Amino acid sequence: MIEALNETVVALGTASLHFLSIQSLLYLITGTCIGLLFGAIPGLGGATALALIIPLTFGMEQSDAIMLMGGSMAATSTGGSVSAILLNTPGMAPNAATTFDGFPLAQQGRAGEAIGAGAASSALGGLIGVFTLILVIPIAKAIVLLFGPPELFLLAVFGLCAIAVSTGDRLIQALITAVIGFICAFVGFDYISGIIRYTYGIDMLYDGIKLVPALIGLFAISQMIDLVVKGGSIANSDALNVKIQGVTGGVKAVFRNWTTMFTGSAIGTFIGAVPGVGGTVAAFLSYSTQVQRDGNPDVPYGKGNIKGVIAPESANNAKDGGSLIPTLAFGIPGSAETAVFLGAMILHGLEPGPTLLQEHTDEIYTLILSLTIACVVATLIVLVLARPMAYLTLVDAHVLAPMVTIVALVGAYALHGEFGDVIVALMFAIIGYLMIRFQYPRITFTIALVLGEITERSFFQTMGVSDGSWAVFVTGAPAISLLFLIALTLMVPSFRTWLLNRKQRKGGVA
Amino acid sequence: MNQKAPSEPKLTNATIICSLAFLASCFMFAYLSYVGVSRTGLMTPVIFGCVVALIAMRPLVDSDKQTALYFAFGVLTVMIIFVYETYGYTGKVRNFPLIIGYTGIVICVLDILSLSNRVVGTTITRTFGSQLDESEMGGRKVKRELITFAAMGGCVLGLWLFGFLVFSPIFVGVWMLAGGKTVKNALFGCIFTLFFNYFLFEVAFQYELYRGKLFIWLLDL
Repeated sequence: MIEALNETVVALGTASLHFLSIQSLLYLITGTCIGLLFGAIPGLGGATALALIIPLTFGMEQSDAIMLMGGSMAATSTGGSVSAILLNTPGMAPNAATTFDGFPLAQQGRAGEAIGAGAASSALGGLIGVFTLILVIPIAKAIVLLFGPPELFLLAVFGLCAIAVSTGDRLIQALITAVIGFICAFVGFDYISGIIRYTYGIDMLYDGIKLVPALIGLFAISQMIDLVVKGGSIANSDALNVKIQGVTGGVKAVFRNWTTMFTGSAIGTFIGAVPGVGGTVAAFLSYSTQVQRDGNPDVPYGKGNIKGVIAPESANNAKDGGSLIPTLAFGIPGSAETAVFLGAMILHGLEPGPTLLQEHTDEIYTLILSLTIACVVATLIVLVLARPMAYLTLVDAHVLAPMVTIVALVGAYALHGEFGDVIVALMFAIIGYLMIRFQYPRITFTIALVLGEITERSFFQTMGVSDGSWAVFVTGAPAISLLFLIALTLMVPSFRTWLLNRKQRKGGVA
Repeated sequence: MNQKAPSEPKLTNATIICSLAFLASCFMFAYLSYVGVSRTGLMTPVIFGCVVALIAMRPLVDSDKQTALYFAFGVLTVMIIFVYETYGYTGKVRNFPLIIGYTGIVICVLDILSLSNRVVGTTITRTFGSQLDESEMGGRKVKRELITFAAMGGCVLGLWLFGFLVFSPIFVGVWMLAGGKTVKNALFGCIFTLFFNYFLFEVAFQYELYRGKLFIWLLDL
């Protein structure tokens, strides 16, 4: 235990050296600003921001790239709270719970207080999430060593199933996109057999479908197509006439209601660690828990209760630390954002999974420190620049779409200097848009694309070790537990329907 | 359980005939596999089966979900082509892809069936979760979508011909003008894009952006 603690302290010390350079700090602040901007503008979000940032990290030191991306990841949820409070338009889906009490507060002329509370609880929630991550990493290190190829294969399947189920009412479609993601991952040179598959003689596919152009198309450009097709400005609101004052009062309110903040953060960290469940569930669960806990509130919830801002915002930011636990330890991303981040890590030679925890502790703790500092920086920026940030959300789709598209296409090209990547980005943009249009979740596609190679390798190794026998998947406690978890996860929609029907029947009888 | 099931719409002749044709194609596929026909030969009943299944399903799907039906069949086609291609490989190379491919086909069939307005559709939707948010489907105009796709395609073509530095500002400016922005704003957008690309990539990153095919041809001349 003491040894693990020592190791953590040493790793944190080594990682903190990266932050002594002004250039690295500038990367972190730039990432934070980009994250805040993309978080505040509804319809963009963290995955889009990361997809656009990845090409910029090419050629950077690993630690600098991690700081830039970590800054962006930590700041998006904080940015989303500004538009939720001022415009009643959540920057990202998890910020929707903040609108319930944040916007009524703004209407009462207490926008500053709401923003202060939102920003402070975001920062503290984020810090609690990151602190939990630091505590869990030594334990995760020990756990991942128990995992061999069959367990890793089953874990990838479990991660995909959990994420597919978490997409709500679209389990079938989520599984379909996962299958398509795997199909795309099979394209190109197969490292197991040494042959080239599914390329149809197209040279640029020999190395497989490149992850970054695919992610840029899937998240950045497809989102722009969607904005243009829907038309109009991104946030349709003229509610920006509110005064922003009393920010310090909001910050103080978080410390006065520290139990709300701690409960929210605990919920966020726990939910974040479950693959695919994500920030939206964390924020809403935290909000509803707070409403239930607070039986007789002074101000009713939904009418401008400050605790209704603190609870979801702390949970929303705490989930970032939590979602990195499965991402870093097992290579199973907890959300679309972490899936894109995983892709970026692979690009920088950091393959997620057991080896990452064992051999790249420096990079992991750099990420942790980036998240920590970015939480605080993002909060400070929001406290000072809330109003200009809110104005940015009123930007017209016809201004934003061509600019983001061009930056995205330049980014897709710049990574390898091949124009074919621009075409790949365009193809995936159209595929991504069709997925949005027909409600096929993109997250399972991304995860399957990222994990395709690792999953196939694990499967191949398992079959090799067991001499082709499938019995290996039901041998040993970890494998059986994972199989049980997969079955349980896939039964969730049926169980949900059964519960709903039972409730309706009871209601009918009553 | 005691609730009476909602009455189902009556099956049309086209649905009945095409369903029978689909069953026939399934038997044909099974027979041809049994006698060891090549994978290309097996594709005949598969293609026939898909076509008749689409015709059979159309009357069973509500009009606002018809495009979703075509998309689902498109995805099924991709899966079938993938499985067909996978059989072109031998040994261990195809094991995992085949598992994925066949799983995909089964899920695609469930997806297609879930779109039908009959009991089987609602049961699948309730059991597995495949609820379509109709408000998301309705707000999009196909013409607008096609124009946007064409604009994106045109952008890539323009970039290929003229390069990033020349075509990026043109694309941004034209899009802003088409979107109803003033000439002044469009010009500002053009200049911003040019400077952003130039300073970020060419100056800061010391990265030479693609100059365009025309420029390369001109140099060759």
